[in-house]
Amino acid sequence: MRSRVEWLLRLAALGLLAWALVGALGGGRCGLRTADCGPTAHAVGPQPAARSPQPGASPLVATLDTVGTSRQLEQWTRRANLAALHLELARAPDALARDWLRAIGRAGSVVTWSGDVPVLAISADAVADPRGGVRVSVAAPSGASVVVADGVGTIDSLQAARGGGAVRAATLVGGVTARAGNGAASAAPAGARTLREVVVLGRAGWEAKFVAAALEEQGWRVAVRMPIAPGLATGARALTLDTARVSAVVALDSTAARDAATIARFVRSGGGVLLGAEAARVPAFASLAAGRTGATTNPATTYAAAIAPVTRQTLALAPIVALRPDAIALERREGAVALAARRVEAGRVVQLGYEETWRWRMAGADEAPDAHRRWWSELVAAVAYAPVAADITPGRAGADGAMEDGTDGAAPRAALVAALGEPSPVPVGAGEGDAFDPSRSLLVYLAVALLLLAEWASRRFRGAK
Amino acid sequence: MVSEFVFATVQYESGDWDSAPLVPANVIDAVARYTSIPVAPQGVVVPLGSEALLRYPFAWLTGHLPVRFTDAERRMLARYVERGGMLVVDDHNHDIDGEFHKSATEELRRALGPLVELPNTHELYRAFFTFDDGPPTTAHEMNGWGDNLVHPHLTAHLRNGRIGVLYSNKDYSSEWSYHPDNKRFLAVDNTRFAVNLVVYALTR
Amino acid sequence: MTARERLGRTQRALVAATLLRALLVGAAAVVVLLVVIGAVDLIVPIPRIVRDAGRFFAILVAVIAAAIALVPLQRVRTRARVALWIEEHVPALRYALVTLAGDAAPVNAPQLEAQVARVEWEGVVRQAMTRRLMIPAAAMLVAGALLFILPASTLARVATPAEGDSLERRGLGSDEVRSTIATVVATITPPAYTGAARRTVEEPASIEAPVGSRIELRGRGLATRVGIDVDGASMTVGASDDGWRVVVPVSARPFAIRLRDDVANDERLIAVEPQADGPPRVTLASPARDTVMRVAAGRVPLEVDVVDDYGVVSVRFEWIVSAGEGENFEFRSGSVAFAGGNARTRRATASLSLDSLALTPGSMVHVRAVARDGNTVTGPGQGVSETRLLRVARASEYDSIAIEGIAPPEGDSSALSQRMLIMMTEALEKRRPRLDRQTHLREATAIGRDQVRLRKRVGEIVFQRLSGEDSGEHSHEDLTPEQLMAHAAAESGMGPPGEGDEAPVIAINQPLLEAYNAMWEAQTHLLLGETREALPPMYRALEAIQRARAAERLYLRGRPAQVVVDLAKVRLAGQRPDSAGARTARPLPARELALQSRFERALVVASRDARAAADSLMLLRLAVIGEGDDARPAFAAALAEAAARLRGDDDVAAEEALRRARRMLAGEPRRTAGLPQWSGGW
Repeated sequence: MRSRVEWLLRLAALGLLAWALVGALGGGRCGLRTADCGPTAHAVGPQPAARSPQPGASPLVATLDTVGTSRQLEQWTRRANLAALHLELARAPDALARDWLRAIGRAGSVVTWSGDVPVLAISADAVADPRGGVRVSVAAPSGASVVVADGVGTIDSLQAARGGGAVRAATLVGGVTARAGNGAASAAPAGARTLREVVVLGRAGWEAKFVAAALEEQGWRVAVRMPIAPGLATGARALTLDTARVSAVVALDSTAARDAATIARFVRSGGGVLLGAEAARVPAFASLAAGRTGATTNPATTYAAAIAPVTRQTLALAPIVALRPDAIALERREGAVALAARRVEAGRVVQLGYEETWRWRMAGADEAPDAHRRWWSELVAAVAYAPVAADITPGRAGADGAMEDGTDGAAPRAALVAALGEPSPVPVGAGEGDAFDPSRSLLVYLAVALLLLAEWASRRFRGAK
Repeated sequence: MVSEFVFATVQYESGDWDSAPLVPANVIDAVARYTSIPVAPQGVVVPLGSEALLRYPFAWLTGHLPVRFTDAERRMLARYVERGGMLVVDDHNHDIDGEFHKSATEELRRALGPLVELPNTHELYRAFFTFDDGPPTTAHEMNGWGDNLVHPHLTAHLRNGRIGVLYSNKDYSSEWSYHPDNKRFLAVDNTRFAVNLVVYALTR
Repeated sequence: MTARERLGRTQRALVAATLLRALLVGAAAVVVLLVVIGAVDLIVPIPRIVRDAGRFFAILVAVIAAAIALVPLQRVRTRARVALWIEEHVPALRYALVTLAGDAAPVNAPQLEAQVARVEWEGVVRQAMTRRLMIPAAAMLVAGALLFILPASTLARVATPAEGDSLERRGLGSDEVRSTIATVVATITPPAYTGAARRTVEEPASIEAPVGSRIELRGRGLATRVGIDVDGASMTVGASDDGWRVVVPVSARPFAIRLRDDVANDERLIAVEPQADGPPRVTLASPARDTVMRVAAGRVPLEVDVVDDYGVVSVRFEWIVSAGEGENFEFRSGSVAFAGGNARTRRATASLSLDSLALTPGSMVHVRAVARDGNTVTGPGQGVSETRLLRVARASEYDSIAIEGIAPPEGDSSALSQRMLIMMTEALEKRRPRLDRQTHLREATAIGRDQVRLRKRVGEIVFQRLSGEDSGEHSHEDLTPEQLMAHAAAESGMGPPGEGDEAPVIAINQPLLEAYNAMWEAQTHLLLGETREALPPMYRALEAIQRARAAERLYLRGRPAQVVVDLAKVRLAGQRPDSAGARTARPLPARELALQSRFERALVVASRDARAAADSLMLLRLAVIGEGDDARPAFAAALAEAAARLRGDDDVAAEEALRRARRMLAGEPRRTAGLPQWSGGW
């Protein structure tokens, strides 16, 4: 009896060894978890001459290991007759892994994926402002907490709403990165913009004076035309508006009407114009305006309001009503549209409802002069013709396109979908986790060793050799 | 809403700020007479130490008596000029040894820094009318009143290339102290320089 | 010598030996510790504060060791214990000594004495004492020898640590291979007038010192190897006893000192921030506020408090007396000064005699205090207090002492116009023979219309006072001038005005009424073209107006009269020039752009070389704080903090500090909720 048991032990050990041998020789398609081994997922995009997986072969389900990615990819590449590979991903793979997986797919295996890969995308655009600045736009699910950083450190953090958010930073060092949860996206620094002159048209008065002052103080080159008497104006008599010389026009009041046709031509060819409330009332500008100018309301009528520091919220406002269908309301105040924008052929128009903004600068709080200057510069930036300069500074991207900071490009999930298709459920019958490879399992060898040991011990105890 | 130019006379605590009550009307008249700039028909009086000063980016200060700013007036003046306001200060004594000149220049220096001589080629003198020789002389300079000098220059505190305070020893307060209706008796309107001041303030 | 005597002598010897041992142990502990510290200092420089602590620690250990060494003193405290100890070591005594040492004399004392006399124990005692003293003495000798071997400079550093003694340190290895600027000590000597003490700073990265101070930089090594640039200009480095030395004066502007050792390829930067000596702060305590007086008599107490950074050397009260009105003013000024002293705070008192100023009604006295400090470098700083105004009220103000500006009386502008009308009429009369009738009539009529307008203005003043109605003239148009006068008298409840009548209402209005009536007569003639007949009543009107002007009670209170311009009438009535001058553009904000550019470059460097970035930030800080009124103190402070964090090798803190500096320069990053709807920021 005992010797039979010993034989069984020997057989079991040999059986395990044989199984390991088979696994080492390229099994695993059907792994430990039996399943229908036919292909159950598809990849989006043009399929190369891929061989269909052999019937009866189970797709390999794996979790991409961020630490040992190269090793895993090598293994899968070497595996013979890998019919299908399904990846369960927690984050988007880097460009190297993504391209490798795509190559595996094109070599005949069907590569699919699933998992909660964070939806994140980032872009960095230079702002058309003489003092520079970059606007970083981040697309993320609403409610996601996103941290934006550059080569020096964190710039800001934001709570995504309505599809994302944006941060305007004055300086940017190196590339910019957005991280949300375990996802990250990065973008190369934006190229600088070529800025040209801004032309301010308005009668001699505080508004035209302080608008020109604000823009000049911000660093814009400003040309003015301010009529002071019939046939007499401070500044240029005749206007030459073209995008080679002028980035934007600020038309504050009805004195700009005589150049309405020139301005309209300028806008249609790509230039930008800011229309003040009074200018927007002029019929000649009706084709450019975003809407009609309503009656002026002035909140500073009580004594308390009259003596309080002026803010943009307390400025007189001629609301923009009857917005054109293609116009966008950029800013509202108590429901009334204060700023509206629209495209006119190749150019852009922003219409203002605020009046006498100079009062904000002069009679506002301590930070009002800076705020007024920045606001006017941003308005000009919103319409200015300012092409990106040709000499774009390259980002810190590696040779494989991946960013050196460990993130992968501006829209990692989108890149993943482009490479491997939309996510798909785990293939039927593939089971969970990785297919079992007996040739790589320590347990198997331990089991063999124990079996052989037990067999030997039994023989020795009974005195046999 | 069309914003008007409003002539503001500065009221300060230490002296006779109201020594030239006809100057505002005369300047307003000049602006209306030669330009199409919307202007209020009447001036206002604004305390120097008050926040209300910031609502009038052009202001006029004159007097005969010593000028001693309070801390509040000094602070407000600095804020006013820093934000882009323009203050014209005129010595109604026309006397560089007089107490108004000595005290006003000292107070301006304390509040803003030293006053520098404005070159007679400055764009102020071409802002509307052209004054090739710089600031026009006044009757009080010619008749020996005060310090018996004809001052060839005005002085100014400049901020970012713009006049923040313009200081005059030439006694334009006396020169322009008459009812504007009486301009018809003048061969050459002596308030034309006031038009330059206002046009400069509104366009530069 | 009896046994007790011998015992006493032995006890004294043992006590002395114990004390000596404790002393030696303590001294040896101190010396050993100092030697250890010195030896460590030879290998690794020990900061002064640690050496100070080490010195204190050594003394503490010495005291404790000595205290422990004194414990055996208990065993020799009494003779009986000493006797026991001797008996223990000399058995031959057979307890005879102990018995004799007892309090009571034993019965067999002579025998015991004889027995004790035969035994010699002093040698044993000597041996024991020698053994007890040998080790501490040996330790003391060895430590002393080692101390002797230590370099004198190390000994000085350890025994008497002082600020700046890092230069005295002699480490292992040759000085020749070490950088000459590896160790730098700065001694700052403030200007004498500040009274501030000289101070020494080791390894300075930035130095704050009053303007006019002298900074002496010292280091070890050959002076010829050291290069120094102060704000871009080279300076000569001199040699000192065992190194190099250079003296740099502190100017009013911040600057950087660059030290170089090209042989050792070393460089370091020292930022110098001058501390400007602010003017004294002067507070005029008395008079506490502006005052209006009826009678200018008595004395006004003057009191001032002055505070200065370093010292107030003089205080002065100044006053200016202004008297006059209209275009005629007289000014007198005076002062009283207090000089001497150099205290940081000072109070001065005086009094101003109003009698001596001979003030008249309407006079004003402006009083203020002026103080100077003793700045001998950039010149004495002057601080000025608020000005107080003391005014003597005019008689017309007695019922109200409202301090509002007084307008020129209405009569003044009337007089000017009336005079003008007279001149025009006289001129027309003179030209009359050369003019045709129509022209003469037309011009006379024009003057007549002006006279009508003037009469109506005067009438408004007069009749408003009489009836309280605006334009009350119209209700009186049907009255003759005489009836008008009588009516005026009746309104006031008084009889017709007599000579010198002082009835207030008539006194106020009579001259103006007369002027009004004379103008009426004049206008009548002018409108008929009778210029010669019009002149006499015009002269009367002028004279009446001048009389009205002279009446004190005619002064009006309240705001000056406002003239409202008829814009529609004058708009564009003047001759305009053909063109207006060109507008000069404002200069570009080059400074701001340069600041931003330099800061961005420093940020880029920070990711590679923290120390170089720290130097860049300190240089940028010097540029920022040297801009006078345009200085940005918050940004400068943020730069200093960022530089310190970068030098401290704390990456997290450095990143946070750099983020703060960014925000100080360019403001908070602007966040927008949701993806932008429009390019450019919205």
